[in-house]
Parts: sequence; structure tokens; C-alpha cells
Amino acid sequence: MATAPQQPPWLGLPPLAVRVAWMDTLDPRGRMAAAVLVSAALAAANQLLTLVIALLTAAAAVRLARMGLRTAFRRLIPVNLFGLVLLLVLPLSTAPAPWFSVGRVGYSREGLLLALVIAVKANAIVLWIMALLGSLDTVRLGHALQHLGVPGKLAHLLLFTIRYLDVLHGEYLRLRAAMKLRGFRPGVNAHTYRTYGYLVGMLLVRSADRSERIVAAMKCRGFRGRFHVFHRFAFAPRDVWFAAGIFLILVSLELLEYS
Amino acid sequence: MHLHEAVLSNSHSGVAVLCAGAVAAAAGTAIGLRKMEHEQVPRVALVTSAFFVVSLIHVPLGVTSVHLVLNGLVGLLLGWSAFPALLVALLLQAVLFGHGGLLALGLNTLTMAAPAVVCHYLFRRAVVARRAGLASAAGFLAGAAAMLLGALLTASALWIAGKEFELLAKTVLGLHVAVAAVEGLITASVVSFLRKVRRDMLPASAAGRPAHARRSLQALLFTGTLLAVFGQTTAASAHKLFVFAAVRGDVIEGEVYYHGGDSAGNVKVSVFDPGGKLLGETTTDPEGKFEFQPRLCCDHRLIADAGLGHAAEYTVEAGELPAALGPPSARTPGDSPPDSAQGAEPLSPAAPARHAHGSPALANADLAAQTEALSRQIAALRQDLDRWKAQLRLQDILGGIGYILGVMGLIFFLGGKRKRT
Repeated sequence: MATAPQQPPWLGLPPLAVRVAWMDTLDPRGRMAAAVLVSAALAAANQLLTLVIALLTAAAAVRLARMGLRTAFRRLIPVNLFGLVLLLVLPLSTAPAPWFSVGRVGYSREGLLLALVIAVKANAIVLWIMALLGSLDTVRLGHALQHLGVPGKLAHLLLFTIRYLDVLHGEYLRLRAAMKLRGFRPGVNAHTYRTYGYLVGMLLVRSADRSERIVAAMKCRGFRGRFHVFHRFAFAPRDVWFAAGIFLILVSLELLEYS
Repeated sequence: MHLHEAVLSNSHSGVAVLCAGAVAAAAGTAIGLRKMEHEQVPRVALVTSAFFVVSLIHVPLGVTSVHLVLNGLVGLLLGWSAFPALLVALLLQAVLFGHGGLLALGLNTLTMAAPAVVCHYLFRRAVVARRAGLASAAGFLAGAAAMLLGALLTASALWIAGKEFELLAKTVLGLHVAVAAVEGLITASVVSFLRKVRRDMLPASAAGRPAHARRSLQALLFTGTLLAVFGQTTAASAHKLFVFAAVRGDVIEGEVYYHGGDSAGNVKVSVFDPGGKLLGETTTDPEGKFEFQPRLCCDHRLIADAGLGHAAEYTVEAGELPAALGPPSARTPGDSPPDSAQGAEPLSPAAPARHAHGSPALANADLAAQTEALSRQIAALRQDLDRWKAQLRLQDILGGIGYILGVMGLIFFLGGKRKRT
């Protein structure tokens, strides 16, 4: 069933996709399985050439999922910050013969290569997951996971967490506004830490109150411990084509890696 | 801190750490799910959402700001349910933000949830104590300890993954020490707030002494098993490199091999003198054997480098080398030793003296041949000894498995005993 992806614009992030893409007509179970397989295959690849090609296919997949590349790259910033840290730290370790030195500190070629491999690999994996799962409505993700065999309580937990993220974020914003109205300015002092502690505490208290009301409401509606999931998924021929396509891409990447 | 699987998947030991982390996290999640009643799911879910939102808070620390993790608080409030809660939170972060990857989910859950559970059992009684000061102090310790333990687990995962990550591991550890203090202060503040406003959110102090002691013991055993599992990974040392060399005739002959006996081909071997100067380089043949012609009479440090942090070292002492070589100060590696024309004598420094006495050439050649044979046999013996020490025997593997099974059995036995009473 093709629905327009509802990625709520909360948490300050712009929504990834605005049009219904071919990806959204696929079974989310297939997309989830594809995401895990692609992660595993890319994790096994260690040659730079393979990883660069994987990165390019990821970008293509992102375009196929009708997502803006610029938004996607904005989301890659934390990954690349970590990659930068790696680039600075890793080459300082290894080999006895440094490639070049900055002052007394020696940078080894193996370390630089390793940092580059890790950075490209991380980018490729994150881009692929964004392409496959980014426009997936998180509720459907929860249902898909339950159909894939994740234990009932865990799927239940996931769905409830997703449901109340938005609500709690609203509460958090209200609390921050109240703090601002009372002239709170963060600094490095005890008052700041105590205030943040009270903020967290208030959020927890409100969440606990809300959860009690929810449990009471569920019991009133006859909840006896089994959480019924109403989304039904069915494999369509396009899912088979999708699986075949992913399989082909992964096999060619692995062949490239080991040749 | 969330690691991405791209960081760890480059080496076999890294992949092993990812798998071990996944298995341990699955075990912890199973325990957490079993202890969580169906009715408690909404409460745990809301606490998880609260922590997800909280991780957006940036607290100023010096010139920069850090985002809160607060896994100590999660542990205090949820106990074993911290495992499924943090698993869900990390899954959402991976899918929505790209922090950490899908394959590293297990390891990341373990590094965040295991300290949470440990802090739960260590501090649960203190935070509901009558004295407010004690409770705040316990809250501080819970927050700081959870962060530090998490950093320790992440750093050890990186360290196991390979020698090249050692510096990164130390950096991670160092960064988290600063954050730990902030986390501790905020956790203390939350604990004092909850004591005043909703005391029933904190773990109930009604648990009797014997049950509490048993569960603390369970938590300690779980931590012990974790450490044992991580320790086995280092002790097994699969793919640890070894190099052995002996003098035969006037050449240093050696062999490079992996733990367990597999030979290491095409490995670069560099030779250094005691001062650190490079004397020469060679590469092993496909069977792992190499030769090096020594020109100076000094300790030769052989370093075999198989790339990506696999390195091994062996020192051939000056005493083993043929005495025909001159002292290091008299020569540079470029000169050919003047004695090479005479042919080499594989004997101790006493040999030239014997030679100078002018014994018959035939008897001397005989003696030289016998000593040559003897030194060859000794070299072979030493090589066998070296290989035997490095061998991975079946009993080691069985011992490791038995150790893990025994500790887990103890945990389940104690858990079963509690149910029966």
C-alpha cells in the first residue's frame, strides 16, 4: 500500500522525502532485510575502490527514493565529523616508518588509508540505510519488525516509544520556553546543572503520569497483554525484483572486492 | 558513545567484537524483556522517549557543549529493562539520524546498558536512603560511573579490534572522563528532584536483604562474564604474529607465522640495530621464511610487519652471530666486511684463537662441520620450542568454553534458587 511518507518534521530535522517514491511501494520487511544485508556486505568490503563504488550506488539509491541529496548530505555531517577525528588520530598510531611528519608527530600511510576506508564505508552504509529506510514511516517500521520475528514486547515498546516521541518533544519545548521566560541562561555553574537536572526530572515525571493514564485507558479497553498489530504485509512481484536487484548489486560489489 | 560498524569491521577481531557484543546484548535484552511485565511496557516506553528527547539537550562544558546520555539514570529507574529500552532508543537513532549503524546496534546497546544495570544494583538502595546528601552523592556516582564504564567498554572494544585503534581508544576514554562529571552532577540533581516530587519512580527500597544480595551477586557475575568474554578474545590472540630467527652459517634465517602455526607469507621484515637505525629489509617467501645477511656484530632487532597493526619482534643477539663480523663502530652497513674472503666461522669468539694456533686444516674443517651441525640442531630445537609455545591447543578452546558455561550456569542456578524459595 503506497502512502505518502509521514516523516514528522520534529527534532529540527527537515523531512527527507516529499513525493511518493517507488521505494515506498515496497514491503517494509523487504526493505529492512535489505538494509541489514547491505550493511553486512559493505562492512565486509575493505578495498577503497569497492567502497567508493558503493558510495556512488548509495547516492543513486537516494535519488531513486526521491530524496534530496543536499538534505541527505546534511544528515551525513555527524558521521563525517567522526571521520575527521579518525583521520587525525588513527595515523598517529601504527608503523615504525611514518609517511610524513608534522613537527615531532609522525603520520603513517597505513593509518591514513585506514581512516579513509572507514570514513567512506561509514558514509556509504549510512546513505544506503537512509535510502532504504529513511522515508519509511516509523510506525510501519515497528509493524514490519514485529512481522519479522522481533519479540512482541520489544515491538510493543518500539511502537509506544515512537508514538510518544513527538508528544514528549512538545513537552520539552514547553519547558524550555518556560525556562527562557524566567530568564535562564546556561553557563558553567551549579545553577545550570541543577536546572537541567530539574528539567529532565520534570520530563520524567510527566512521562510517568502519562504512562499511568495510558495503562488505565488500555485496561479500560480490555487490554490483557496481547498487542494486536493491524498492518498486514504481503509480498508483491516488485518485492522480488527489488530483492533480485539488491542481491545483484551486493554480489557484484563482493566480486569487485575479492578480485 | 555509539560506534559505527565501519570502524570495527576492518579486522577479524573487530568483527568478533561486534558479534560478541550482539550476543551479549541479546542475552541482556532477553533478561530485560522477561522481567518487564506487559503492563510496564508503556512506562518503559515513555521513559525511553524521555531519554531520547533528553539526548538533544546540550549542556555547556568549558568552551564546548556536550549532549547528555544519562544511562546511569536509565539504569536506576528501569533496572534490567534498560537493555530493551536502550536498544529501542539506539535503533531509532540509527534509522532516523544515522548515529551508529544497524550491525553495531548490539555492541552499542551493551556498552550503554550494561553499565546502567550495574549502577542499578550498586546504587538503588542509596538513592532512596533517608539522608538527602547520601542520595545525591549516590546519584552523582551512578551518573559518573555509568558514563565511565560505558567509555571503558567502548575503549576496550576498540582496543581489542586492533592495535591501530589504541590511540583512538585512549582519546575516547579521555573525552568521556570530562563528560562523566557533568553527567554525575545532572543525575544527582534529577535524583534529588524525584525524591521530592515522585519518590515512587525510584526503585523501591522494600526489597529484602537476601534478595538484594543475590541480585547484586547476579549483577557482579554478569559483569564478570562480560569481562571474561572480552578477556577470552584477547587471550585467544587469533592472528597474533610471531617471528623466530636463528643464525645458520653466516646468515640469519628466520620464519614468520601466526598464532596456531599458519605461516605468514609476503610479510615485510625490517632489521634494526640497538640504536634504532635501519640495517636492512627483507620479505618472507610464501612459506613465511626469510634470510638476512648480517654485516655488523651487534644485537639485531627483527620487526615483522604484516600490516594493519600486526607486528612481531625478535632479537638475535650479538653473541649468536659469527665472530668474523667487526664491531658496530668500525663499520657502516655499506662496507663489506674484510673477513668475508676467509669464509665464515659459525663459532664463538674463541674460534679465531683456536684457528690462530695453527692446527691442521683437515681437523679444523672437521670441527667446523661438527659445530655447524650442532648449531643447526640447536636452532631447530629452539624453533620447535617457540612454535610449541605459540600453539593454540584444543584444551585452551575447551577451557575457555567451559569457563563461560560454568559462570553462566552459576548465574542461572542462583536465579533458579530464588524462584523456588
